[in-house]
Amino acid sequence: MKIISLLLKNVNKACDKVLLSDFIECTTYKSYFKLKRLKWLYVPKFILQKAWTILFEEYCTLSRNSGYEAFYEGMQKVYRLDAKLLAITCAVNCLSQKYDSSCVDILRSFGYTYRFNWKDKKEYNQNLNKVISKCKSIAIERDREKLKFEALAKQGKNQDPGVDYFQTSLITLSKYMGYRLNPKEITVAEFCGMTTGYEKEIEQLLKQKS
Amino acid sequence: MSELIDKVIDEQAITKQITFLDSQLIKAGTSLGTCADAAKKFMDQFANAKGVSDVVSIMSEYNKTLLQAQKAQTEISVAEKNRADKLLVLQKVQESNAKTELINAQAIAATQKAQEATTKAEQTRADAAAKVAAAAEKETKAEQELMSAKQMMINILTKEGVSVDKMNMTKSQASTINKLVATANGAEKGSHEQLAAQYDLNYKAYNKLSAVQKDTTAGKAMLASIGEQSKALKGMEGPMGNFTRDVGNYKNNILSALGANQGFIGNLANMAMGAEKTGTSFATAGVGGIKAFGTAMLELLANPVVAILAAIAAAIMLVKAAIESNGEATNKLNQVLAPFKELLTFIMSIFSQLVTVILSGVLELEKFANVIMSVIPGLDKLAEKNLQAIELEKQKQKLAADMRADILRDAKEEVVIMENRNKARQKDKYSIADRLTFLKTADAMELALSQDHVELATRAFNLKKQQMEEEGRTYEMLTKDEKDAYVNMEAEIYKAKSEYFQKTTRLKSMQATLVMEDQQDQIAVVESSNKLKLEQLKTNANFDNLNSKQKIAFNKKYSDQDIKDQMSLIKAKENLAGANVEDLQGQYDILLTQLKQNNQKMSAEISSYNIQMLQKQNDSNLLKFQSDHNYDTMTFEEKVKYDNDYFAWDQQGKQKVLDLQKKYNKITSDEYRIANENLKSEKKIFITQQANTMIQQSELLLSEQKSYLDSQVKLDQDYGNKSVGYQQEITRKLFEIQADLDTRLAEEQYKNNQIDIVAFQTKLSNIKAQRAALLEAQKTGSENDERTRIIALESDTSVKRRKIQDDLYLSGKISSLEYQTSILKINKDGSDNQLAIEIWLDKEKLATLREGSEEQIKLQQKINNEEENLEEKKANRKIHAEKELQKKIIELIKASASAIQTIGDDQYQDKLDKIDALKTANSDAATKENDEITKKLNSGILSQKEADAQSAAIDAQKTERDKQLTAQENEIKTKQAIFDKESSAFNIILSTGEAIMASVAAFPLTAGMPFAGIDAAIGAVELAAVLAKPLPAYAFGTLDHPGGPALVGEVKPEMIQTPDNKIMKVDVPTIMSLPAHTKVFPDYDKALQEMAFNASIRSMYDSVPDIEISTYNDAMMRKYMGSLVGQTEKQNSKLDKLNNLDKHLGDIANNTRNLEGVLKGLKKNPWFS
Repeated sequence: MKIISLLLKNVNKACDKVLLSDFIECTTYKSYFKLKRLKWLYVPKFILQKAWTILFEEYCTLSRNSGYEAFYEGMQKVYRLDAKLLAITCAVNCLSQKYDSSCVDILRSFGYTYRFNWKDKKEYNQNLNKVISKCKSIAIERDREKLKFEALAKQGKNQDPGVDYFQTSLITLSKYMGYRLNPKEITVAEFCGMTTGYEKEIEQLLKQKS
Repeated sequence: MSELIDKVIDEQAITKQITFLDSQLIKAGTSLGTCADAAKKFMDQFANAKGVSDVVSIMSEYNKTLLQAQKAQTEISVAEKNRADKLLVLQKVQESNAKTELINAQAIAATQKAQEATTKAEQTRADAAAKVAAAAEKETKAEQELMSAKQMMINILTKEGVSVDKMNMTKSQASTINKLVATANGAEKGSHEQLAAQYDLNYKAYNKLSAVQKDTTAGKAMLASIGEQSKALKGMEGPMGNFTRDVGNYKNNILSALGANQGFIGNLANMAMGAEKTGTSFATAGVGGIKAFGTAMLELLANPVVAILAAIAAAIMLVKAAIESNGEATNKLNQVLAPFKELLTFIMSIFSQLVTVILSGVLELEKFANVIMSVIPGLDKLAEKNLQAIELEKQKQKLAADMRADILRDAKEEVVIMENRNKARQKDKYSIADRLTFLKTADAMELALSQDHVELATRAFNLKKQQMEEEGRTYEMLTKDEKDAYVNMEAEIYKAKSEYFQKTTRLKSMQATLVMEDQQDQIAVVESSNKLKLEQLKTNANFDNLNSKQKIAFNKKYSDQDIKDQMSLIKAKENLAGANVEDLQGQYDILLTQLKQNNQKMSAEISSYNIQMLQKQNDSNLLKFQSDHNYDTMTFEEKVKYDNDYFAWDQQGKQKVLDLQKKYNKITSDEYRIANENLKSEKKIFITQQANTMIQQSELLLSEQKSYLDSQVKLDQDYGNKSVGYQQEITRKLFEIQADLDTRLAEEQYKNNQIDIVAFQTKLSNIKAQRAALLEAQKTGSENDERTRIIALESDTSVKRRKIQDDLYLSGKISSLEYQTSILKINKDGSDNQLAIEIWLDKEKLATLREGSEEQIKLQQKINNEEENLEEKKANRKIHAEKELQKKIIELIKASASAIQTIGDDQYQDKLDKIDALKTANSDAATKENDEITKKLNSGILSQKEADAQSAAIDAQKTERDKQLTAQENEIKTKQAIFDKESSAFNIILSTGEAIMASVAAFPLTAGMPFAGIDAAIGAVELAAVLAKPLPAYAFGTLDHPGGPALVGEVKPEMIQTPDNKIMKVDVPTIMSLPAHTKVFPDYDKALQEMAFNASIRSMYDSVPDIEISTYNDAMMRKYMGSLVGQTEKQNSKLDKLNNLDKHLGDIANNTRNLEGVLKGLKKNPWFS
């Protein structure tokens, strides 16, 4: 809806626009009012949450969070398999009511290359039953991936960056940069950039030492 | 009939439901197909998603598809279950309908038979008329013969000299004969009756002749004619078992029965012998008796009772013979008993006549008849017949009694029905439930009456049939009137049934009308109630006295309520209209379907058969096609081709079937039309009429409902337009308020800034001036000079002040009391100066006095004391002045430091912004150059290698430049951080200095050193801490107070909003302990307006999300959102403008730079060192 995109325009959702202090507050208190561009403007909560999702995702990307990648891939896998299963089930159920060439195409695209000759009702029903019995393997795979994903999500829940993480990072980075970093002055993108740079340098030092 | 209709309804309804369920299944299947397509697309989208947010956003759409699929699946399950149930029910109904159809066919056949019978009856009647005509002809002939006989008789009598009187008697006899003949002619009772009547007349005429007349030729001829007629009658009646014709010859009959017929007598003798003692004597006596009695009995026939007695006697005698009678014996017996039967018939007719007068007497009479019959045991056969006749008569009488009782009951029930109907009309007295009950009771009674009529008509008809059977008569044997009566009776049944059906339909319609009227009344009541409620709401709210915001709020509430009420009413009306239309439409459909059914059935069967054959052919073609190809051994391309060909074959076959279907549909409709035109039977015409009536009613109601719905739609549109206009008005007003608010905000902020700047400048110049004056004063010369100057100054001031007071007093502007008070005050202020002057004068005087004298010593002591007092006073004044000075210096320093820090921040920020701009420019330039290279590469100016090399060079250059810029940026940031630290340190120093100065100022005589040392020691810690955590002062407000005490209301009225949304107004400087996350708005009025605006947006927004823009009011929302974006941009630009006001601070910075010198001077001050 346009109204959502219009309201989203009035919310900061990019890492280079949001101050680190505001980001920390959002992470710690799960209160996203700091993301508003105009303090007096009323913005519904779900818009703020949407903005936060975009922002946090960018933060994860910038900070090269490996957990995020795994989380994203797991989520993608589960939903892809779920959609596949839904497509097959719907197509079979549709075909059990009437003949539909597009549904047959869908099933064939998934490798179920039966004849689906609806004139021969017996064979037709047998074909559909075979599809149903074969697609159970997809359901099993989906459930397995889902379990993995849920475990990952649970694990990730306990690893949310808190105030302590940012404070420690800021102290370390201040030492590294040679001046005090004020979270009210640096953006999230800058913070990520500094962190990444620092980490790289540490890696290099470690390599040199080794 | 009603049952038949109900079943038709059921079958049609169930078939429709099954068709509907089939369509639902197909629909759900299609929906699932769509879901499958969508799910496949989603699968691809999930696979290509670039991030969790992408997955999440796809997920929301995917969930919708998932829900849709689940819904479709549930629909399929439910529909399949329902379909199976319906099929079972349909099967049962069809079986039941088949039976009903059979009954219906029988009924139609019966009707046809009745019609045929009517035709035959008419034919018979015509034959009878012909026979009557023939009889009339015969009559004429007979009359002519009679006349000739008369003439002959007259001639004979004339010859033989018969007296005139006898002749006259003969004439009167002849006249009687003529009358009887005329009566006979008029009777039109068929040839038999005519012949019988003629015979009777002739016989009577002959008997009345004298013996002489009988002996004449004419008399003999008449006798011979009578004999012939008698023979003819016997010939006619014999086969009918009617021996009454022999009544006139009882004697002969009895004799022939008892004597002439030896077989019978033999039998009787045998019976008598078999009876032994009593039998023999009884038989002998009986036979003899009856022989003697028979003659006498004939004389007594005029008396029925005697005849009965004769019959009793005969019966007693012939009892055994009757018991063992064979066909012949029975025949003989019937011959004997014919007169008695006639008598009994006569008696029974009397009974019937009596019965018509006194119904209750019938049983007595019947009993009597039964008694008679029981007394005649020998008349078993006759009695049996008579018993059947009596039973029949009983039934007839009972029917008649039932009909009379029915008339009375009908009248009584009509009264009750009318009462119930009246009650059903009384809306004010009874509830709808009660009224419906009354109406249903009345309807049930009325239907029961109709049902009774049907039953009575059926009973009457059955009775008639039974009677005919009893009498051995068929329809053909009936007379014209009887046939008419017979047909009328049968027609009566159909009339009663049709009346029942009409009533059923009408009563259902009446019930529906009542319910509809009641619902309309209820709607009207609710409507008026809603109106009243809304008016009351308006009155209660005291609308005219509300302010604009309250009016807006009230209008919203009012319109919401109104919309809610209107919507519920519209829904109720729609339901009502829908229900009525559906009801009528349903009735119409039933009747129409009934008409169509018979005609369509045959066509449907034929067309169905042909279509099936065609489908079979198609299937066999397809199977042949399949068998001709081996799918498993095909390549993929061949498979595709096979599929396409197969599909084409299939489609072709389908098309053929469809074409045939269309053709048959057309034929069916044509046949139906023709058949419908040919429907001429009473029943079908009646149904057609009913259907037409219902159609008209339906159309009328439909048109009414349509016009009503149209008016509702118009109302809704008007209301919608009004609502949109209203919403637009609100939006416009809100924007006006916001625009006004923004303008005022900007103006006020600008004004405040200007005021602040001017005030600051003034403050600075004042401080400068005062400080200069004070420093100057510090530097002034000797004590005497000082004293002189002070005395002069004070003296001058006192003189001037006194002079002013004098002028004021003399001009009458102040009272005497005020003048005296002022003078005293001036004197007190000037006491120090006076004292100094006195000391100076005393010292002058002291110089003139002799040293060591008492006067000199006293004066010296006085001077010393006075000088001490003066010094003390001066010291006090100095301390006070120094305190003031320190305070002002500190304020000056703080203001300067703040300004310097701001300037410093701005400078660093400017530098950082410039570096950002350079970075962007660097990036843009690199992009541009790369684009140029790409262009050159595309146009062939550069090779790929060259282009890559140049691009790499540009990238390297860009990276280098970025590195440099980043280094500069880091440097600036470092400097900025250092500056921040220095500023912080400077603040602490300033604060410490403030404390030190305060300490020194408190003890100027001791130079304040001990205290200053302590203060300096703790200053760095304590005062820095104080300054680090200052008492928050929210002259500019805050959105998140950390919690604890704060200074509020120091500039102008402020609004305080606590986290639990409590609002406070503080209009005087106050220190308050506020909870954490409290918001402080610097301008109460402005904050109030903002809150109102945000609340409006919130309320408007809250009403938006659940409604799609396109369905709500696309144009209005687009306009609104466009305005909102415009407003937001406007706000942003205003904020930018406000930010530009910072530039004005540059002026302040310029001024404050001048103070740097002052600060340097201050640092040199011993208090700072």
